[in-house]
Amino acid sequence: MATFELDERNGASPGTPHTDVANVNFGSIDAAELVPSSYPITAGADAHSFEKWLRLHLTALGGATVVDNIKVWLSNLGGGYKAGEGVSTNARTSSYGGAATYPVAGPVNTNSPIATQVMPTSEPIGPNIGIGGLLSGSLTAVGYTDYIVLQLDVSASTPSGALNQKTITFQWDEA
Amino acid sequence: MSPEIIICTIDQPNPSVVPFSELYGQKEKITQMVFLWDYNSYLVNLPEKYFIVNGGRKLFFGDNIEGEIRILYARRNRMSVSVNQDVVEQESNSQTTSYLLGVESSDKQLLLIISEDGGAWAWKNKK
Repeated sequence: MATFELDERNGASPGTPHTDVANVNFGSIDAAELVPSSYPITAGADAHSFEKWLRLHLTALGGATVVDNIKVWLSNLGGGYKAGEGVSTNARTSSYGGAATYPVAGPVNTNSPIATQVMPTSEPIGPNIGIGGLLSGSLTAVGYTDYIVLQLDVSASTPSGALNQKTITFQWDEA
Repeated sequence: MSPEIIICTIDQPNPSVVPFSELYGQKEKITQMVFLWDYNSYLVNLPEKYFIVNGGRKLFFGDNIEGEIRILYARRNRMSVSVNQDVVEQESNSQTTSYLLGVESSDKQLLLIISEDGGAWAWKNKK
């Protein structure tokens, strides 16, 4: 069975890769596996966390010959969004437009020009993250998917304190 | 009406009817599989024709599985990661795995998805 890990990249290009990250914690700094309580996001009009630039890394085919049909979505909102909270993404099932390019200056905490879609909260009908710039792309050897870019959005009405813990699910097919 | 499924396994070489829900637990042992479905009891004999489904696309078409002792499946795997919780709680291994199998005859295609949580099936007439 194919084996994937989730990697994150931070900092100005080329950036620092962090492999096999344990969580996708959003915060007010550009860092992997940050402690949210130490780096809270200040509520306000059009306020955001730093973007998360993630990739699924196929580390072993495990007997499979091809891996494709990559999907990502929020499978558990943990009780729901707080007022004014949301998650944006670049993941989309149509008009994909190719792979996102890691920004020269690194991830931003202004309104992301890349994560412009609403993060799905149910399994997408088709792949929403590509491989090699194509939703129809596939991996036949160890390698990476396209970047999955996420950003937490808040507003002036978002209450202070911890947000509900959520779960992101990644899904792939192999044969 | 869901298809009736008759299987032979490594442990049970004589054909027997099994519920759809039992396919997942037997998947590694199935040596032959026969589906009966629709009100005309249309028969598709798996050893004659089967294909592996991946993301909705047909990948492989087999005419004869004689000599194979296991049915080949495409796997659909999921991995979940926590968001916004400083307690490290990663589930790096696949949480669930489901299996996709397609069967076709001259005029119909049948798709089965089976997993630990249950399964689903659908069929369509071939163009």
